[in-house]
Amino acid sequence: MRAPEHRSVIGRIEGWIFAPGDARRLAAVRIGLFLALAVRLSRPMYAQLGAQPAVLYRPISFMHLFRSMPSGAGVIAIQVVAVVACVLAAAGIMARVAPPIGWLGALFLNGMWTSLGQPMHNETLLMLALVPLLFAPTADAWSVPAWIRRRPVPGPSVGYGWPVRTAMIVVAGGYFFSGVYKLVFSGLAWVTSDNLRWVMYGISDENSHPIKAALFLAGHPVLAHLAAALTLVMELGFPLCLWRPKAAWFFVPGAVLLHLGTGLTMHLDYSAWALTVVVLFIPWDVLADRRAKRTSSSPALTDPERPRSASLA
Amino acid sequence: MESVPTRTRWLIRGFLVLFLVCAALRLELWPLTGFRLFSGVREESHPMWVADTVGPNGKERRLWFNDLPRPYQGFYLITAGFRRLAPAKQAAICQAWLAEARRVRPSVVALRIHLVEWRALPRSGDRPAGPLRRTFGYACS
Repeated sequence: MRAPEHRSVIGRIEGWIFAPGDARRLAAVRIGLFLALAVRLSRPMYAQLGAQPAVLYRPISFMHLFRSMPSGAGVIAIQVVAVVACVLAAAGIMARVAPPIGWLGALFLNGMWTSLGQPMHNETLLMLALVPLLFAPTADAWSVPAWIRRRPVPGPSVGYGWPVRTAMIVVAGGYFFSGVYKLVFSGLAWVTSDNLRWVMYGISDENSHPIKAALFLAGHPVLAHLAAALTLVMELGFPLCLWRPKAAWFFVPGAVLLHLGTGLTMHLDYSAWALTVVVLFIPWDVLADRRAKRTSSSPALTDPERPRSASLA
Repeated sequence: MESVPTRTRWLIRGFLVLFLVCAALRLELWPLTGFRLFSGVREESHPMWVADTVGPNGKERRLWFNDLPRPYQGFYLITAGFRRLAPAKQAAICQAWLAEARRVRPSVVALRIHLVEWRALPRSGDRPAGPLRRTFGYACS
């Protein structure tokens, strides 16, 4: 007799995912995520990777289709096309073809990066958060075509809600599983032991120049335990943002600080995760409404039907 | 009443199920992933592979792979399974590293790979207080 209960839980989750959403919120996510991807793909490292000797090639996933690291003018051409496509996607131009082209280019280029021998998680969350946007009407608001045609911002619609909420689930899930596996493989020792201190000493000793921030954290056990505990709380608790949007006031700055700390102490670039969180969990449409209210007394600028929330997500 | 098309619903369901299955079963179908990020507990001491270049006077000097271009930064990933590789493959990999080492240090005559017993403490300044126990692993010239 439990099946109906399960159905109702799934039904409620689906009800949340497929509820109406704001075209401007979706547009803000489109602009933010595709611009972030364009910047990430503009780095020179992809052309560098093409110079890898074949014997060092360690593909994972679909990169097994290649016998060695793709190289030459083809890689640079793909990089240029992908960056241009991402910029067009951010602007809402060629909204049906530009997003998939940009995303597929990113998949290939970052696939090259993972072919050093392990999944490079740095871009994973951004890549996965973009998937729902590939099939969504993302350019109905805040896009160049809408601006040229002077189209008014459409009201809330079911077509604008699910891409953002699906991406939010993926991001929250990414953090949650990262935390879960720390508990599964290490238990509470991940926090209570000197684990983080040894990580910090280790990563500094693997660098030609010692990392002062890592050594500072490693040299202060109480601080290291606190950082480990906060990391675990952050990761395991992040899905609360889906259930209680006000929780984003804690978890969004927390995620940004976490990745800032990772960058300072470990020299690992997880800025794409931080950007993805900021873009997805800040209600840009609500902020736009507030700004419009402040700058104009005209009620016609905002849609009175549009739902408003004081919470961050 | 407006509703999401059935095809879109199934697309999203399929994507989320795939995401959750990969995450829950730790499947690495990149970009889908098992999200194992620093999940293991580190110890105060553990074995670590290092490479040293050998100069014309026989003097060894640590080669820092983080300072080399991206294609060579998989050193720690490759050395983890280096002993299980076929001899010809080991030689080819070592030669690839040596060639890059010669690019940054032209006078290098050989590359030696050691397994070092790394210990976090005690420290001598910013580095572990030596000497660390080393076991010879591989060399090429």
